[in-house]
Amino acid sequence: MSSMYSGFHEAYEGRHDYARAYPGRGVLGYMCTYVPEEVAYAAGFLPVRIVGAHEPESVTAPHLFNMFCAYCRDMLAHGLTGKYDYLKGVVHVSCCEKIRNTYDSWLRHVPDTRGYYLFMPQYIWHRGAVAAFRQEMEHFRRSLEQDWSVSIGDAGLDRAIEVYNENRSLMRQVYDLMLEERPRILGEELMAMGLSSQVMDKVDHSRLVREFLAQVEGRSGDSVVRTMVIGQTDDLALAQLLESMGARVVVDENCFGLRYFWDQVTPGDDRLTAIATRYVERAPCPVKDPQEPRRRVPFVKDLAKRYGVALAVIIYPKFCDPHGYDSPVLTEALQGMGVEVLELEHDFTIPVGQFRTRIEATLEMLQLEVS
Amino acid sequence: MQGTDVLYPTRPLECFSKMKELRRKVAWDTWNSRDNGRPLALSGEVGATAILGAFDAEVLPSMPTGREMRDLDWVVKLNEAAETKGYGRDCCATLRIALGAHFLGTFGLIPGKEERLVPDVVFSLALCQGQMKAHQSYADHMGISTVHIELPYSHPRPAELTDYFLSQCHDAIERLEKAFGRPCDDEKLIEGVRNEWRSRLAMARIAEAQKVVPAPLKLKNFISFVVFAWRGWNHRPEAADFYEMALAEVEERVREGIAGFGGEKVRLLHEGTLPWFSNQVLRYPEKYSGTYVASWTHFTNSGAFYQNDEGHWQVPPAPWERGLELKDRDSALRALAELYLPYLMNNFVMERPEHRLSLAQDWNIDGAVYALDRGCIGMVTVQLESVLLFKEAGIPVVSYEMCCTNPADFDEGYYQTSIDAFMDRWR
Repeated sequence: MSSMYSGFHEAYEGRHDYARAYPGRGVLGYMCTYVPEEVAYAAGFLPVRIVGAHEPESVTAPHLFNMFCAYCRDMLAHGLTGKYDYLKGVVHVSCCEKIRNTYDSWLRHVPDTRGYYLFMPQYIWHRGAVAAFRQEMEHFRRSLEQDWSVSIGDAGLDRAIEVYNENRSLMRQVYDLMLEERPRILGEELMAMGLSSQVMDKVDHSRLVREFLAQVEGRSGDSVVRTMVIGQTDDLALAQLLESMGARVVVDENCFGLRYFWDQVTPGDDRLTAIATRYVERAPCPVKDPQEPRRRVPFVKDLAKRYGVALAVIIYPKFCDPHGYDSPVLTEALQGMGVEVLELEHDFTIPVGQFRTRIEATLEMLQLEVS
Repeated sequence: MQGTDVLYPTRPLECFSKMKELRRKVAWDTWNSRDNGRPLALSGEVGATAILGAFDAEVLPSMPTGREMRDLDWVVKLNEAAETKGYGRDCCATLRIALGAHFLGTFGLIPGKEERLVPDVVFSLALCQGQMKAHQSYADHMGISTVHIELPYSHPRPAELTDYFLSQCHDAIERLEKAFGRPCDDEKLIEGVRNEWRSRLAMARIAEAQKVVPAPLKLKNFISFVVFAWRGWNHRPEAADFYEMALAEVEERVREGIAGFGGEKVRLLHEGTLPWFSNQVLRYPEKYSGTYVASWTHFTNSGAFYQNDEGHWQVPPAPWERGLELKDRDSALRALAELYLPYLMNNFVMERPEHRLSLAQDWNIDGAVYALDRGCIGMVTVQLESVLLFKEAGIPVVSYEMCCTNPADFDEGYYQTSIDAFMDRWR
């Protein structure tokens, strides 16, 4: 295989400089991928996901209880220490309670932050869910218009939908390549693509994805232990670790990856309804999948089957209860189809040494060669 | 201030004997639900049980009961059973108990019989994500379906999503008709909604009575009353009648200057859930003449309130006091929406710190004790922001960690030492 594509890594590493130099109306941060970015984008804002840096911190203890996950603490620490001083505001939707606390603390203690909060139904299959979310999006639209003297009309929303859909479509093309028996793409590249897509203008990101697809054309593939990462992690160290031992992330079910972009907006006469429908019906996170029949389990099983997965790594932040509820059910479902499952909990950093031992043991159980 | 002087007269609550009688009836009705030909729902945490009442359904509580909480070793075993199946300590501690009991084969066990009650359905008015996820797990393991009514929180427009709430209620009724195999009785629904309003208004007014010095009740008395809400009984006429009877007695105590705690010198707020397996936590400050008189958590869980334009807590008038007639299914459900959207302050997550502060001010609180519950994400959300706000306002505050259902996560000695030091400021 030729050398790794570095465009996504560079974009992700340079996210703060990129955002500061963004030529539009400014940057809005968000903490959960259920935020309807298209509305903010149509107003001329760059929506970026707020992420931490996987470094220990000492500023969030007065605000977040010590059994809140490192993901929340990492985000808030970045806000409190001014890393996101360029944000014009923060947008949040109801997802998990801990992130809601993080959002609330951010608004209270990060100076000059304008907040936008949208209720997003947890009961997503209910026939009223789309209308309820649309209603909240309408308030969001009006708030942006009022606060920033901007008009968000159909033309702007159409362009936002088009730009976002194109980016989603391109990333799906990359994931389609992972279906190959000998994948030509590294899991680390896959994860870096997902991460970078959440911190830059989709027009720029689509350009990178096209560049990446062109580079992949000339590559040859490898024989690997086909691995799926499930849960929530924004740490490239996991993919690096897996791939150092002969496993290859060929697909994920992660809100920093596939869950973020997998579903398109189907254009409709009422743009907000079209966007709301996409968010309500998208691949669900555990919070948004609380009733039978479950949606997430069959979705994960289907991905595992299509991508020929031999090993599933369920990884989520320590103290994350929504993932904690789903993990036993997912484990049982995947084992039932012959997939080896490894459950890992991480804190601020990926504990490389400890995880290496566990991954090695799992791979040995698979009776496969560890490179 | 070590030791307590008697400053105010006290006397036992007369309504307690009625409450105990009703509690026995609640349990009896649940255990005999099948013999009585009643449908059965696993439910009870928040409300909207008038909808169950429309089917004559009984409630098997998903919350732990006193029977489970009395035996510490057993409680630990229940927690461990859930953990063994992969439901870690970060999952909702309250509902994990029921899962643990399910795995140990004791959930719904009728005392004195080998028989277990298996509910027809899980029904919940859903306040938090953990509640819905835990109920999903129950449904999986019991092979039954769930019927959720999600409480939307549209900030800062609490009644904004009434239509969403109503459409869920209508759907819930349809799904319950299938699950129970019987039609919804709209007359019973109307009566149940009226009783839920009566129960919550009476509890709110009992809470209001606690503003008086001395407070007519200890907080532990108030929390004892909440049992009918947690057992999914607020829609029953017996519960509403009981709450109104209790209110009348509390008002009489206020008129006569009867105290819940005769040594009341320091009025304390206890915030958050409680370690339910320990019955000494709320009593402990009494050795320093301190007494818990209020709790945002328990007041908002059981009462109906709103904050008026001046920032004070207020009890809303009942729909019929405003000329709104509950005459059919739709008007009954609208009244239910009103009770739980604008008036369930527990659901106003981001306003909690300010609401707590105004409660402390309106209820003449001297100091606040925050219980940081490792097993209840819903309750600890923005709790530390409340602590900071209290400090800014100059109200003394202390916190302790615990888990409401897991003795392994509560160090009672640490709690007592914290209270010893905290109460020293009023010596």
